[in-house]
Amino acid sequence: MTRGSELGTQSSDLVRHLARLACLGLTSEQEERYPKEFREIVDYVGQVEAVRTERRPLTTTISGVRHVVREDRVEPSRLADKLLQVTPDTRDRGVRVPPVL
Amino acid sequence: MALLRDLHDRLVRREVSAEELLEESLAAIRERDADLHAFLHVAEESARASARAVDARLQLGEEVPLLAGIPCAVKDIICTAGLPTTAGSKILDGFVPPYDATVVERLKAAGAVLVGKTNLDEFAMGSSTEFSAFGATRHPLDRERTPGGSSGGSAAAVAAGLVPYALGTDTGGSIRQPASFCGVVGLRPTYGRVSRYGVVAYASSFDQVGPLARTVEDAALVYEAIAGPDPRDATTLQGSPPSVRGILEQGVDGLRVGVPREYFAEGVDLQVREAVRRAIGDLARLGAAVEEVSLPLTKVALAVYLILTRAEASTNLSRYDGVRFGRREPGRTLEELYVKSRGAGFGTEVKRRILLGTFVLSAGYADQYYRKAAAVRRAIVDEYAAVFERVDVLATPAAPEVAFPLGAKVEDPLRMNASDIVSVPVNVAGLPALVVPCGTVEGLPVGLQLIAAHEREDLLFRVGAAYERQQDASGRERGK
Repeated sequence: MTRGSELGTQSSDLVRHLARLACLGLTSEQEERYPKEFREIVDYVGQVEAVRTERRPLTTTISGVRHVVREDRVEPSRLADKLLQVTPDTRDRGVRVPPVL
Repeated sequence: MALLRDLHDRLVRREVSAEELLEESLAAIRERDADLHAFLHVAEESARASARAVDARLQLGEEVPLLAGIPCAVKDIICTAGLPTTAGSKILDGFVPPYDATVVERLKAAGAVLVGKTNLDEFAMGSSTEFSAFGATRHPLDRERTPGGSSGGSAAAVAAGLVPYALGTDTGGSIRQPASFCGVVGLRPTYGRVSRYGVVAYASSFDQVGPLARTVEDAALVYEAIAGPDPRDATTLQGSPPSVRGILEQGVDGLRVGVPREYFAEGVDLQVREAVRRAIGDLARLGAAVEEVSLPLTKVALAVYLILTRAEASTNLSRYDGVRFGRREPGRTLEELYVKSRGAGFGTEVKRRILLGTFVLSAGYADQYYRKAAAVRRAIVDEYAAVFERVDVLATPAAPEVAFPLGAKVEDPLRMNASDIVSVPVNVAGLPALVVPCGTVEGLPVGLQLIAAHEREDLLFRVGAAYERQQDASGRERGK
């Protein structure tokens, strides 16, 4: 398991890389403080590795509620206009955004 | 303000009107909230309309539900149609949802009067409200201290008597720790018991909505009003929850109370441990069979929680991209729009969690962190299930400390997280837990936490109510 301490000087690069993955702008102050905090937290959570666990299929549900389905029915939605009202920039019932490239 | 049942009786007897109750609440808010900052938004106009509607029904002699005409507050992470919902974040500053969360719909159907939205740590990520983008809430008993978090605004509003009850959310203790700090009752229901539809998501397999109130009965009444299956939230448990009201009088005779030694370890203040042990002693005197138990995985629960919730949060918060709603910063390209909107809109703690969540899900790390944590979560679920074969409820401290000073932990994320060490295991296992005030340490409230097996809120209310009755009785004896 990668320990926080092993991240070492790479942690600054790692933080910048993760910020890019998450499309998250960081201030220079955040860029400076996050690497150390990151190492500490990664170190702390690393203790899960030592716990012996059974090999079972991964599940994210702990309540046992799964595969809940409902009838596939088409119903009119009146929300569209209301949702457009809270959209920052619209034109002709479309959402305006800058170009991808 | 009187308790819910009394308020209801007085309304029905027309001794007081819903509008008068609302005026009382608004006056209390005007007087005290400038200082406390429990509220982010007070909805005077709509609250008045609700109150008048209930008064009109009462005047016609109509029967009204128990919560009708009674003021309440809702944590600002819960969507309220036509009222601002910020989740404590700049990225949703000015956002007005076009729909109500299911829990709000249910309260409204019961005639509740929604007075306003309460302050919280941004996106429910924090234990003090200090991470709110709109300033921290202060503790009603000590302005230099935090009320806890993330539902600190709701806890403070109830503790200060601004409203008789409020809704909060609890992902890792965010109802229970502030309830403990502020000396009020807080319930985190079984995962899936209460609908999360319309609740701004932090960690979808951990979040639950629950009540904060002054008594166990009040909490039970609010819980009943909001709990139950919802076709719009596919994680809700099927079947109506059993009514809890009849259970409150049943007492603890013959019930088995487990005391997990790992919850009384070093990380918990000595005086808090002592106060809680005294409360457990009271339960024994009331007829409960108390025994010590062990939950070894408690020590690793916080690590599991940190990994899984940050992972889920990084996914949930990816929807805040400045495109369809919320704050948008200009950009020359779409990517720049994302980066700048999210950069400007999210606070430091939220970004920290998104980064960690992205890390534990990323290629090369997902197996050793996310998958491993999910497996350990399973083991924790099993460990609790095993202990509940032997005992009916667990009794533990609700928080490792009393309300800490503003600024004391804000610079140290791990220390802030440690405020939840006795709360997070409950969320990891999806269990219900109730916090009941059990005394003070140097004038600051301490909470007793009761934990039960899945869907056994009835046991929590039963034990909590019995303890509360005994406390009231001994309080009267001491001539309070």
